[in-house]
Amino acid sequence: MGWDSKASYPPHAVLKVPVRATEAQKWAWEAAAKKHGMASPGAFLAWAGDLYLALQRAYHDAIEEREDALLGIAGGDRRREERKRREREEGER
Amino acid sequence: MKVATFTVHADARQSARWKQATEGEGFAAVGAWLARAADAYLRVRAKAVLPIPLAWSKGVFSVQLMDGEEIRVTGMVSPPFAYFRGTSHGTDRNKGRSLVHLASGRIIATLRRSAQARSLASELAPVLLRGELPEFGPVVERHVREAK
Repeated sequence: MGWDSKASYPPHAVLKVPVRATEAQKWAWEAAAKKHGMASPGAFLAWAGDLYLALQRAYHDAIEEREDALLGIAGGDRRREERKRREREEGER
Repeated sequence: MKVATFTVHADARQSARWKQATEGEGFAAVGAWLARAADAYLRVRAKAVLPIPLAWSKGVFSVQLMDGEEIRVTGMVSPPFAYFRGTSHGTDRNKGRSLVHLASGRIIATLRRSAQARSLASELAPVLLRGELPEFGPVVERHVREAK
């Protein structure tokens, strides 16, 4: 199981990112990878990066939803349009 | 300072997302941003004071005894902790297990059974992640009290 990283990475993960770690980070990431059933500390880092962004996105969405509610229907529609446009632009990049 | 290097695999979309976040948050490299994201996640977990399960294996390590002497002992290791059969006076197969902080060789506590030493280490790991070492006295005191 330890050598097989298929379960931890998406199939098209062909790009490589080097990450430097102190001794304390090394053991913490290795322990976290084991605990999450991931094949390597690198897989844990990739997962943590994606989770960080997902949580950040959820946080911003929650703030925008709240602002939509305060602005009323017209303001909310405008914001939703802006959000859709931003997502399209991000997808095209 | 000793450093290790890990390789993280990413697909094109992940790479683009990470690069965007790296630039947005003012990091010099994607690797540095990923390290920060992983540490942030672990800090949040540690703050929730959830015990962290540790994987133990046999090993040899240094221990600082009460009289200041440093000895090498064989025991079970799961960085940053280890435990051996004995006390702060030295190895002794009949006197419980002592949990040791590997980096300093310091004995944290002496408990009756291996399971108790492992349980204490699991609970101390989040404390250590929060950077509160060596101020984990209350956790140790509770484990020693419960082990009696």
